[in-house]
Amino acid sequence: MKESQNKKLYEHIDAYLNGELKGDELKAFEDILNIDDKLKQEVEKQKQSDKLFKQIDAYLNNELKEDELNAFEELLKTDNKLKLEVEKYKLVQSALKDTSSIDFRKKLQDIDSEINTKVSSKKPVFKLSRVNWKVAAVLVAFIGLMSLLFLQNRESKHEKLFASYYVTYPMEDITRGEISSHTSLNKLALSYNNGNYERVIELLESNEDIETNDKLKLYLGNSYLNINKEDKAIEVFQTINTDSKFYSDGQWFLALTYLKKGKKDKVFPILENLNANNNLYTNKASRLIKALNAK
Amino acid sequence: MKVDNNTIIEGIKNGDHTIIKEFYKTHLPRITQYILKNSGGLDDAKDVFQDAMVILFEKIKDNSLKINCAIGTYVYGICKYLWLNKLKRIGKTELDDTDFGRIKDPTDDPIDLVYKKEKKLIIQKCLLKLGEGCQEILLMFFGGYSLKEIAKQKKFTDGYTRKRKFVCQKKLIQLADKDPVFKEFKASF
Repeated sequence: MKESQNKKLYEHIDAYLNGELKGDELKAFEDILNIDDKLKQEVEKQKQSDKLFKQIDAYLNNELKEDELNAFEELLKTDNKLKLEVEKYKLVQSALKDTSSIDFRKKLQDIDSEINTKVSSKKPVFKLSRVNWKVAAVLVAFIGLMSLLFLQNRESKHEKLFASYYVTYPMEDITRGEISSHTSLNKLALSYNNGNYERVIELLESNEDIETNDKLKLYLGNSYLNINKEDKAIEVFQTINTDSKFYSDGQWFLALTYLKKGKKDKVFPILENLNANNNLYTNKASRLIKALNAK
Repeated sequence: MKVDNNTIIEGIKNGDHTIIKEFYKTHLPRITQYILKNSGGLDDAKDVFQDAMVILFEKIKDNSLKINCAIGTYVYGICKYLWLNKLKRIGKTELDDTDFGRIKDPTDDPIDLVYKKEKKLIIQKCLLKLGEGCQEILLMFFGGYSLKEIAKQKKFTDGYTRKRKFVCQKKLIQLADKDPVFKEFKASF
């Protein structure tokens, strides 16, 4: 049975056991129950699980009588399923006691909806009910044409593709073992993450680890790329060797740097190579090749 | 505009809507970028980011936040750990283990913290997926009200209140059970 059907069945059984089925719905369910043994079994299973749940509830809320309590505790020693359910109940208990965290999460969800509403309401909405449609259509077409011409003049296809494919290599965790000085590690992370690429370059260029650490090279190359020093970025990315585990990262950024410079002939072989090997960039490389080939 | 750590901490502590919103708007994109790059989607990014923010909130609340970096960097670190942990759980192997091992560095404080809290985070998240009626009755009950008091306040009968609480709690646990963390928890018994 598919999961969605399963879910529906359980919801139905739940509704039945909770007394939420009424009239024809209830009658229909009971009629099927009389002839379907499998359903009968499921209902029985669910009933047992509800009973167990109620018992745990009573146990943790100190509502069991002494003999019931003893029996329950005895069972708890041997029954792992029961133990698990008791643990889950305790988790719910502690999670829901902490209302300030729940309120904070609610606040975050509200903020998220606010931001999303704002973004979607930023989309232009033209109310044309009282506007002359013909004039509006001509205007829209004119503005559209003008912006297209404007954009085409402003930005080449390569630059546009670069902008849509380039994402700065994220700063991964660097451990102290990877870089000699702990102080410069903090400074490096702070500067990189705050977009202070000049400072990153300064720190990395003077760091002896840059010669041997390919991850640092990726940060350095990306920093150069972010301050429009493409030739320097190319130099750095080219030093990441084929046997490095960061080779494909280096090649991807090398291709993007050439793309930014409009050197299509240099971009293709790198992308084709990435596309031919299985790595994180295979799909992106294939998409970019297609985009570059498209008119 | 750059906001210093103390302003953010005070803002979060006092529930300052503007500061929290600003922080959210500034830092979510970077987390999104990271998660999209690592087999996740936009909803995963929001989910992970909100979890990390709740963890930060709790650290601030109990005065145990000790960091020597920008709060944004700290939250980013927690997000990465949460996400890598999730990927590992669902068996995606695109990230190599050396990265994972590095993040598990014992000097890295968030890990232990996250590990202890993740089940609680899931339950709280699931609660907010329930209808408002269910949320209210469960929060009242676990906040210390007796079923009798709830019945009186909500003008329900005692029987209905008991049943309602039972149904809501069951729904909550069913939702939590679907999470890989709870599946793993179940398997450990």
